[in-house]
Amino acid sequence: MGRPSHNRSIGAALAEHIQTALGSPPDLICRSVTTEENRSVLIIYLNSLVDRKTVDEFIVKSVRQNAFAESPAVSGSRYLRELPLASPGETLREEAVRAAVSGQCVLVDEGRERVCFIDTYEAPGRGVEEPNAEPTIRGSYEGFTENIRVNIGLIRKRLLNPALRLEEMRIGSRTGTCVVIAWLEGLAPEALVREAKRRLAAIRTDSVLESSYLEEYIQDRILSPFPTILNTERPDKTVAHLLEGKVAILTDGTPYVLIAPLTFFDLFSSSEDYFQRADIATFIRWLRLISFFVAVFAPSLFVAATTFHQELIPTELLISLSAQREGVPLPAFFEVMLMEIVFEIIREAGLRMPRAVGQALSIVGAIVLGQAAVEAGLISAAVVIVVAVTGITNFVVPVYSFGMSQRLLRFTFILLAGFLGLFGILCGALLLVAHLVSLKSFGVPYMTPMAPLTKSDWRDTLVRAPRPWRDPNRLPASVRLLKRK
Amino acid sequence: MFRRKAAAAVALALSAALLSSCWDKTELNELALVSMIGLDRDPESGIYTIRLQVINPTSGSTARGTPGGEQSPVYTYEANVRTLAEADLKFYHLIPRKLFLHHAKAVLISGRAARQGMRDFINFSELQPSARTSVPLFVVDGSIGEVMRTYTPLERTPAESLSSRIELLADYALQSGRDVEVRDVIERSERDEWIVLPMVAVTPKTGNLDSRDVDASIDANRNQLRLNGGAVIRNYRMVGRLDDNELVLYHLLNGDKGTFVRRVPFRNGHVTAVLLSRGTKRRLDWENGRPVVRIRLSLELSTLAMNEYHPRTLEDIRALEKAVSESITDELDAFLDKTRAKGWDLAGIRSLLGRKAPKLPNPDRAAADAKIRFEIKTLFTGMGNLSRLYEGSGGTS
Repeated sequence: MGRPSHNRSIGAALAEHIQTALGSPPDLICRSVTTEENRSVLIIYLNSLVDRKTVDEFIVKSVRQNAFAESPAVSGSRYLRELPLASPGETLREEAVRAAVSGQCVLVDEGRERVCFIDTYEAPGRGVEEPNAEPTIRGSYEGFTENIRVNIGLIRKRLLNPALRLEEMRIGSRTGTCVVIAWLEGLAPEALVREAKRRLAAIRTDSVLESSYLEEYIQDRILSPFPTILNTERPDKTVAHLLEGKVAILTDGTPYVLIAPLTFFDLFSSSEDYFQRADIATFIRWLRLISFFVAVFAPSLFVAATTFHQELIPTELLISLSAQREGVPLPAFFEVMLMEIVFEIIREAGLRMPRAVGQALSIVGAIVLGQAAVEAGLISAAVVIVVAVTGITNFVVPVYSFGMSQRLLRFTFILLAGFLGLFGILCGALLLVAHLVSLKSFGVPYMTPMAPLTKSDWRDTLVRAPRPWRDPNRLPASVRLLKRK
Repeated sequence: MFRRKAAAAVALALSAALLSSCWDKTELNELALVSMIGLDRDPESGIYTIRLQVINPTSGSTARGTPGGEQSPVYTYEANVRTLAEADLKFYHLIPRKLFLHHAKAVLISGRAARQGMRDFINFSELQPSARTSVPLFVVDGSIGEVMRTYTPLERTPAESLSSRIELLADYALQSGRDVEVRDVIERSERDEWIVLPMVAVTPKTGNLDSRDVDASIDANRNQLRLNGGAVIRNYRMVGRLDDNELVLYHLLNGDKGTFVRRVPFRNGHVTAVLLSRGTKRRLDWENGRPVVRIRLSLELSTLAMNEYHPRTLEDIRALEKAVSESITDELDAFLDKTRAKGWDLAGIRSLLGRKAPKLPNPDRAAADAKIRFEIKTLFTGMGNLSRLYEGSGGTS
């Protein structure tokens, strides 16, 4: 009897160790179940992280019926592992603590001298909802959630393909966040998958709370206003990119999935482009390109034209602008700068404000910006129009992070225009082009297919060609470049 | 290393700001937008009178303003100077804003100044840093002061009203060409060619002209500006004038394209012909050592007034085309005879000889002796489609 009592003491000691290691949390459950053979099995788990239905209806029931004792020993599986109770004490204890905080059930079968870890992870979270930042009119209304398993399911559901590969990693020494790399075997270039894994493995951080944490580590260049990795909360978009041979990186705890490589022109395409008629999609894509230029250059061109190059403005417009400026105390440069800053403040406040107050804010913003400032003679009406147009065009691009890049660039160009006029804008534009062509995303030139030039890819860049005109097996130039490596 | 580079970049950017033109920046409300320039010179005293019409941006929408508008849409400033270089200085005694000539839409020169020679004015205006030479030049028939103090209806400024009328007269009356800008005068005068500039005059005035009372009048023929004939310019100097009818023939000869109307005698009556000039081609031949210039004109003909004549067969059409060609040829012959008698080379024969026969010993003489033959090709393109006009038949034949 000495041996069982010795084992029992090990089981109890293990439970006690977990309790101590986790600081006796209120959600730690340690229950003893007696089997049909009258053996006692200890089940230890964190109540808040497990699927209680699985625990109650499957594990407890199986233990009672002694089903576990019948099953062959399994090792190496992620969902069911077992260790002999006689394992070195330190290893066993560490493993047990890690398993408990990962949402696994720790079963200590004192009679059969073994410890089982069963994955019963089920974190609390919201269900599948419509993506907030990337809504569409036509197409799927499903967006990723904070639960990585749900997200994998959303991808699998659209990609019933055995070639889909998923590789899990744990990143963050303190958070131990689950990160999954997804790609399509045979389609995604090996060099790309290898590089993605290498970059992720090289991350040394204590925490990953959102995919942006990873993005900052794995992006090609830190000092750039442009995103070089795409983030999306749309499963259909993710699947479309996987089908183009790209890799997706899913992070537990965030609905945003990273996709690489990314080219500049990918930023102008939206999922809906492929759900609409080709001609309409092409038109909308051009609208986005125009909007980009308006969002970045409109206020700076206004400043340059009205303060340095009045001869470029048509006479009628000049008279009208001149009439609006009568009595305005601030120079055009400060006027535009002030309005842009006020607009950004209102926008930022609108994002952070409770929804109930948002409407009040928009009314205040509209009245202050649109009416009162003009009527008080502080701001000319034309500046309000320019800032409003710029603000609206900023939201036309389908990638939110790219919209933020535009905001940054806009202020730079306003400064250049205020100091140097059109010459300054030209210098800035040249630097911008030089920067864009020097950027790379996972080794792919950012301006592909314009630089390097791949005319055949224009069919899905400048236009969205109808599907029958496209070769379904042809991968985009960015991926083909990596395949050659 | 990176910090050093970054510091160098920042230092460069800051020093670039020092080089910048931001110190030259001008806000819109610091500019006096000049819309029209008036130039005059008293032949006796030699004093130049420069007038600038400056736009008042805060006024009503047209040069006659909205009824009840309180401010004038344009202000006319006047400076009398001994040399043109003094003009800027004089104006800054009167104008509180920086003169901005880029948007001037018309330059007016008085008839008397044009007769004395306009080289000084043109040279001066070309040297102005903010002036353009792509502005139409008008010669004033009458008092330039009065013209510069006259409001025009519909358009925002009188200058816009004048420049807009040039376009319309070129397209729909062939009484103006588009080559009447300051730079055309320079180019043509330097090539020793002739040019005809539009003339502008004030229509009869009524009411209290110093106030905006005139704006309330519905009669837009009075109290405004009228384009009236053309001033013949050679070597920067006005040597004579053409009436509206002669202007059409001048522009026809010079290959300007546009529509005009002629009443042509045909089969014991007259036909009103709407003609569209499609341009000219010139060819130089020689007959017994005498130059012969063949001017080929292409015209498109259409008739509108069906009650005058209604061609029924192809022969009728050919006959009408021939009659129109002959009539226009006669008019052009008469016009050329008249102008050549005055020593004017409005057909540009002298420059044609200069280009085609540059080695002629006495080109002026050869140009005066040159025989000019017109080959007019008229093509009938359309007519009204009613054979019976409002004869009370109730639409039944």
